[in-house]
Amino acid sequence: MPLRAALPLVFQAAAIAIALLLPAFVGANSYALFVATQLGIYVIAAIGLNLLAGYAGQVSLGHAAFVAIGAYSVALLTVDHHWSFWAAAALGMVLAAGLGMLAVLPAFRLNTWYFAFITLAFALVFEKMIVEWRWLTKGFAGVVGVPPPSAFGFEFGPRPLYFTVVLVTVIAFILVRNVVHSRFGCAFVAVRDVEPAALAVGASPQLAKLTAFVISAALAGIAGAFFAVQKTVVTPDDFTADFSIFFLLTVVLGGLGTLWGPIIGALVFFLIPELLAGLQSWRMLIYGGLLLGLMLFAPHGLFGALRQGWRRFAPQAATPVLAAERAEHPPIAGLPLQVSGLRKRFGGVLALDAVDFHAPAGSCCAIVGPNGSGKTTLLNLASGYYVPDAGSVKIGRVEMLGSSAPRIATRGVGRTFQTPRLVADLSALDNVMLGAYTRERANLLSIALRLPSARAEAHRLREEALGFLHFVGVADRAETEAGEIPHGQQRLVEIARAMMGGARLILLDEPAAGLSMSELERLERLIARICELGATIVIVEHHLDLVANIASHVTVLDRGTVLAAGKPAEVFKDERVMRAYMGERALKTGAPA
Amino acid sequence: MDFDVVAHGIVAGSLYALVAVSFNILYRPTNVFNFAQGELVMLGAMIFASATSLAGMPWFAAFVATLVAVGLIGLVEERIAVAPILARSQTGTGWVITTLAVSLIISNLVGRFWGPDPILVKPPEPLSMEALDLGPSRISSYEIMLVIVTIVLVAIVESAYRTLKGKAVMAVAEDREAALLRGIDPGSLRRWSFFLGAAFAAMTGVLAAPILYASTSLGPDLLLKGFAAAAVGSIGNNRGALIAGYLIGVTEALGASLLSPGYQEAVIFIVVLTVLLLRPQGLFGSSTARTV
Amino acid sequence: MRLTPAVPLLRRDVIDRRAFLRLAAQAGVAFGLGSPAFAQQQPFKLGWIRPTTGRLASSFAPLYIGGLIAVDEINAAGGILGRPIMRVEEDDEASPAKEPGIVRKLREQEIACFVGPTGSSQSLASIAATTSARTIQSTYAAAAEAGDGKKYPYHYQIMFNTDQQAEVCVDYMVQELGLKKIGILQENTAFGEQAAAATKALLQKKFGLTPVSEQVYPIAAPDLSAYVANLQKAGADGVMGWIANVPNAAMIFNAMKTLKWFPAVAGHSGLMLPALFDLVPAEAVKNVFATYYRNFSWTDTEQPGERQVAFAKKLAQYPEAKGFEVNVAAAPYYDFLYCLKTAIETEKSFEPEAIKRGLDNLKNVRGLLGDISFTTENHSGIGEKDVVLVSVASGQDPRAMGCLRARAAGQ
Repeated sequence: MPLRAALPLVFQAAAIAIALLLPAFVGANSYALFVATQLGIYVIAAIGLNLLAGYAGQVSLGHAAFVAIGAYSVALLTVDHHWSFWAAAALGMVLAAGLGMLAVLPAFRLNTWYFAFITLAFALVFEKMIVEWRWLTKGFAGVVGVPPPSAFGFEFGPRPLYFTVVLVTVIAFILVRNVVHSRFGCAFVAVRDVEPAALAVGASPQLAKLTAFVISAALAGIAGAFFAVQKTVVTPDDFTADFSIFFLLTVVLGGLGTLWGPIIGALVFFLIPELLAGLQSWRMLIYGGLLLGLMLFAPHGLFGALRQGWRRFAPQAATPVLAAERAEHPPIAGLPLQVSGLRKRFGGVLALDAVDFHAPAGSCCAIVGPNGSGKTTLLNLASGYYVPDAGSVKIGRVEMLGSSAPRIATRGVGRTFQTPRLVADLSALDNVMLGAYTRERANLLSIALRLPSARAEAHRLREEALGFLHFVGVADRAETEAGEIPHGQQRLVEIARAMMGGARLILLDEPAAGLSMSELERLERLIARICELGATIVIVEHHLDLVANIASHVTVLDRGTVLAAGKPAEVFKDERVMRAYMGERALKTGAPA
Repeated sequence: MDFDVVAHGIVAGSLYALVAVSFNILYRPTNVFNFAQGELVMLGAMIFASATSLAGMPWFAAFVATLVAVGLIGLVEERIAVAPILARSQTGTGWVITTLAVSLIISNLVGRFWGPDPILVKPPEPLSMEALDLGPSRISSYEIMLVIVTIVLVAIVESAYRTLKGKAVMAVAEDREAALLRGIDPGSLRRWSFFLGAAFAAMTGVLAAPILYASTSLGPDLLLKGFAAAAVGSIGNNRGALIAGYLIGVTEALGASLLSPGYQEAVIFIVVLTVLLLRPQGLFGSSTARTV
Repeated sequence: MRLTPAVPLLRRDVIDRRAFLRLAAQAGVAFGLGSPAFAQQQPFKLGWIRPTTGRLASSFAPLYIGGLIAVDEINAAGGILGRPIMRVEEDDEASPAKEPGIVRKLREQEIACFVGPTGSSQSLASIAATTSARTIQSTYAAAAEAGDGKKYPYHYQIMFNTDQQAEVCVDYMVQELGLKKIGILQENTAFGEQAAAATKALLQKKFGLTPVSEQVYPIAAPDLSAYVANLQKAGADGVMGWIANVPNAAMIFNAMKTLKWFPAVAGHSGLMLPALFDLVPAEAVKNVFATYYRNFSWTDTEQPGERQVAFAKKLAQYPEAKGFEVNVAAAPYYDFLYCLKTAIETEKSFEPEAIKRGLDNLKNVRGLLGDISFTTENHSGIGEKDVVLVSVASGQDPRAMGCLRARAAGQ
């Protein structure tokens, strides 16, 4: 096995071995084991926060509150009502996710910082409430004497408790890793970095954020449950704003959006205060300084720095092409697009006024027009990115006016953007696979558990995505991060992504912009081939040669209205079109450029 | 309804409105919501308390010194914690974490210098915090003045937006590139916004100190309630913030008197969540289109 | 204190770490030079749980000075059975959440006797852990629960408890002042809870009264005027103040001043802060009374005890005690160290079970705070006769010497 592939396995095995051997070297009642158990508990919560803040980009400033819900559930139910720990912990998880969801639901529709603020407010309010609801929570004094968990008459002492926490930590790590590597994880990153890409593949950003939040809050809840039994005392002071910031710092220190980040962060974090006990009173100040410094100089934390160093030390080998080129693609049943009377106003500007446009099934239609004529607006309205003021958008025979972008995408509409919208941190292959977001059948649970059916499906989709990369001609870039791929090829990956989504109507927004001559030729051949397969293509383009070669029908827009429509040869001869749009250019260069 | 409760709600609400306006001043041209704003308010209160009691400065001189000092701290915050993040990505929200880090640093440094105990600040002569005998109400002369000053300040800020410079602010808020074309430098505008937003926050702290004490615990509290007023009144809308501030202040005071003062924050939180769920853009804003 | 536009509510010259270190060093030098044989003895390690950081550090940290004086005295006199006392300090940040970890940390060093923590909530969280670890402990916890020897067989309460305090205050309010409309203002801690519960029970049992209003405030609240306003609105003319830290008390009296409302106030010894004299007009302080110890108080005919006066003089040499003299004097730590010494010397053993036996058998030991007695079941060492109500205003009397006060009428 090559070193590169073996290294993570070696690390994982070493981490687990160290964790399992620790109790052999320290006493059952030692402070070291107490701290190690606590460390495990914090890692569980940090893994969840990392999924939410690192992958889905939703910074929770109130994670302590979700831990508190789990801890109080266990403390109150086991002390006052003599529940078993396991039942109480399960309820704690559900409550943490449920109560948290109620609080943060309004935030998902708004700017990301609302989420940060609402979680911060939730934690502050919750902290006040656990002090205020003395009849329930016993106020400032807290709940004392939480009994250890027990199973089959066996009471968990410090050592068994420690092993249980290690086990839960490992399980949490694996589950989250599986989710991160699945379409859900890719959708989280898409929502974080390029929301339009998520919309284009039919992933609802709200739903993605909610999914990440629920997993994260449930992990915080289970961490809280263990927190209660490990500390035996649960008080409001455990769950201050400082505690939330501590979690955030743990994740930022280890590396936001890296799987090992929370573990590295928690380890370092735990060792530092224990070593520098004298600096205890400066702790929050140090936290603040670290948080600021890391965000400025190491946004991917310690893990990011290590990874960078490792890459420099052992550069990535060129990836071999992984699958044989597939010669034939199954035909695509094209969807017709019928737009009529479409109107859209932005503030005082009428961007589109009573525009009619028709693309029959399997045709290739072009929309041309000067800058600001409303071409892209038309695409955005047809694909659900804008809500029109009036008119009708029929895709197939169904009226889609006012439907959300993900819904329209699910109907079989794929699109590309003027500036390519790929998820820069994901490989080209992952970007294409993301296209199948709505096609993939495996649900979150079977993905998290890596059930055979989910694995088989993922494997099949992977092969298919490679096939599409071949089809568009960039298979050699499959494993390259999309951000590193040349601009022209990013476009092709976008087209592959749209096809991967099973698009039967493909909207291309200026695909030729910035392409070299040879790239242009490849694009032209590619579009022609897609058309041959049967898909409907609507292309917005300035490049009139390209349009003339591939489009069977051209619509010219000018200042929000249709100036002319018809066969390319006829339209380009139209005097009004010459004057309004091409006149100058045609004269200057002699040919469309 | 108890008149006295409403009166005190309006007084507290005026403070929340001022914090919300300081958020808005900073947010409108920059699209950055400063998480350290609460601590800047607190810092204003603490510096002012020290300037008058320890250095023995006259009220007005201390007032100006506090505003300039905190304004400069806001500027430093922009240089250190916001500009580098925005230089990396215009759309990212890394500044959520960095401004939060700044708030931690400020609150802990202040805790170091001043200690955790609250400082009582007296209002300027001839105003006083002694309750006036005005029939059913026990409101003081200082509190009445605070309500009036708040309305005047909101009016001043609003009219400033209508000036040429103010319109430039709007232009940048709406379209960065268009603003650049019109010769407005977004960087310098952002620096000014942080300076003015921080100075306004400091002024809020000075005005709040006689009522709330100058103490380190002031920050998170006002951050939360200022955000509530700003969000309910629609981010960026100062008149909305004023009305929402009153709404929050009175709701809070009623909650305190009918339930228990411990429920104040919870009541506000529920109001904010309800408003955001029904009208995400706040009570006084219009919904904006999504853009690709 | 200067009367400038901004009056600091509290004295800022709080405990200084370096001062403490210096003291500790002096103590070390004192016994080190005094007897070389003594220094060779294995020191008797004592867990010393004290907040040096956190919100309440400024009001709680100085309270250990009494204990420190006792350690110095005992070590200067040859230690316990020849072994010098050595303090092993841990900072609990006055947070109940920190206590279980601290107990583990100290236990790991084989320390079997703890002094502190301070505060009922902090103490109960700590005692829960020390009880199972069989650690002898005395905390600054007034909550009556902490003196229950059946529940907490290794904890010893050497201070008045909430039941005793409530009794003194209720009797004074209703019988002496003849007030019927009593309001309760309590902090949201185990102390506040138990004191308020005892107050309500006594008002009902002895006089058939119910409080007109009960206000419970969180100790971290930035402003307490809303609670005070609610009491005023309810028409209370007497307020039971179960307030145990200085910033809260200061905020409450300032709120009363703003409202121009000066009801009679009786409550915890925490009300006796000197800063009060700057906050409230003199006529208002006349109405404020707090629970304290007979030995530390005087009347027209009686003088404070001689030992107590000597202690007051000693305390005056500690600048960090300034402003907190009463609370330092009322702390259980001085007496606890002497009880510990007596118990160990009687049993001639440092084993926790032996120390427990020795402490359980203590009868009428003359402590600073009063006569201290324990049984196996009753670990509340101070008797009712030693608890009195004193006038807060008498703190300005030259006879006060920091920690002495005049007894209220009829005590």
